[in-house]
Amino acid sequence: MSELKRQLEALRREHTGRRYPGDLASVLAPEPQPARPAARVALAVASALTVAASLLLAVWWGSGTGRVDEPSALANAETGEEAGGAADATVGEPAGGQPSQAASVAVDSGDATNAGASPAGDSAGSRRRIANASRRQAEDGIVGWPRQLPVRYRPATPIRQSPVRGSTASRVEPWLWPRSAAGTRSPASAVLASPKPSASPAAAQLATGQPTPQPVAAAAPPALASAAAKRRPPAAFHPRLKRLATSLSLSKIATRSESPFRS
Amino acid sequence: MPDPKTDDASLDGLAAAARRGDRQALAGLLRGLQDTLWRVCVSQLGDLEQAEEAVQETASRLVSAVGAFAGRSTARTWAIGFALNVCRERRRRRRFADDSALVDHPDDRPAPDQHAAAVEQADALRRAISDLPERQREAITLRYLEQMTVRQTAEAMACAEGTVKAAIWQAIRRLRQALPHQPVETQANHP
Repeated sequence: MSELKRQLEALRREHTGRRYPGDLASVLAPEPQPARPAARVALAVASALTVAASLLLAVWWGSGTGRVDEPSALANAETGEEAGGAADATVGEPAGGQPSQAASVAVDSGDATNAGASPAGDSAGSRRRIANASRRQAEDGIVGWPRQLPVRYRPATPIRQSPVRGSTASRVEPWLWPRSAAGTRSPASAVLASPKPSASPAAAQLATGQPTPQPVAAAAPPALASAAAKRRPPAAFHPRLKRLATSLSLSKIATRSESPFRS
Repeated sequence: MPDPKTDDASLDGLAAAARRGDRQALAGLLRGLQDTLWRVCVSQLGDLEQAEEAVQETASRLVSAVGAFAGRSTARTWAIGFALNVCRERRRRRRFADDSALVDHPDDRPAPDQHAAAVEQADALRRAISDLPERQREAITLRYLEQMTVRQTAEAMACAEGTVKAAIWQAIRRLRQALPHQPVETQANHP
């Protein structure tokens, strides 16, 4: 046996004598212990209660934010004002007496399919607008408009609206807003109930469908104020319909008894 | 802790049971392989701390891959293949270039004066083995130190048996050239 083999044999004996300093099985993670049934049931109940509370809170919050904080007419008027020229641009009767040319749909939600107006003869554009309007109505819970929903709708019961969330004057009858200018209610409600000067008459007319009533001045005689209070409230559209019409910038809804889509 | 079973048949049985999801068998397999893996990693890395990390990493890979153990080779060979891969990666990562690494690892057995020459020769041999190229070092370690057959060595190294034979022949020639008082023999009378 050569010297190298003897050395290799000696090295092998030393090599074989080595032992791992530990237990390699410790790398195995301990098996997960099943949780006790009571603890699991308690955890499930707590999770369900948390989810239910979250849902109730979301529903309550959603119902609160769904209210219109201003009288509907003013709200729509403001919306029409804020919409820039879109609402006013569609108020006027287009040349040639073709209503469908004026039925331009404003872009209100970034929907690219609604961008731009199409001429009267563009049947595809009309169908697209009708489809978009129907889709929006379906999203708002209105089914069948404009063919089934009455254009003029006045609710049987007064619409109660809260001007300011958390305010003491939380309910304002929409047709009593002229009295608010007389200082009979809180300043906040009076401000909210009175027509804002920034609202254009066209937009207000668009919202109400009638000539905009002028608010009674604060220094008006009581007789005039009471007469204004006794005056029949203006016919109002359903707020959802007016909101929809404002968003679509369809002045024909407010000024005409028939929809421009019927043409 | 029971005495681990280290023979190939027992390890193969444990590997088959571990493949079916038996955690006790998997623990027994790791205990039966830990000394072999430790020796291979120490011989390849030359550093006890690095070797311990390599053994644990090898064990982790074994646990992950035990479901894919097909039994085409023995469980020992299969595990050594994992250890060699881990050691290769670690050597490439740190560019293992310390010549005294294999010599410096502690030897818990005191060296008497009468064995000083033998210890010196053993250190020289370890240093020479550590200087070998990767494949030659692996082949010498498995073939001579672990006493594996050429076929098992080839399976562990994932190469052909002829490659193992050639690597061993070249390694022995290098060792004879490197060790002092060793006549250079070029004859291929290697085991």
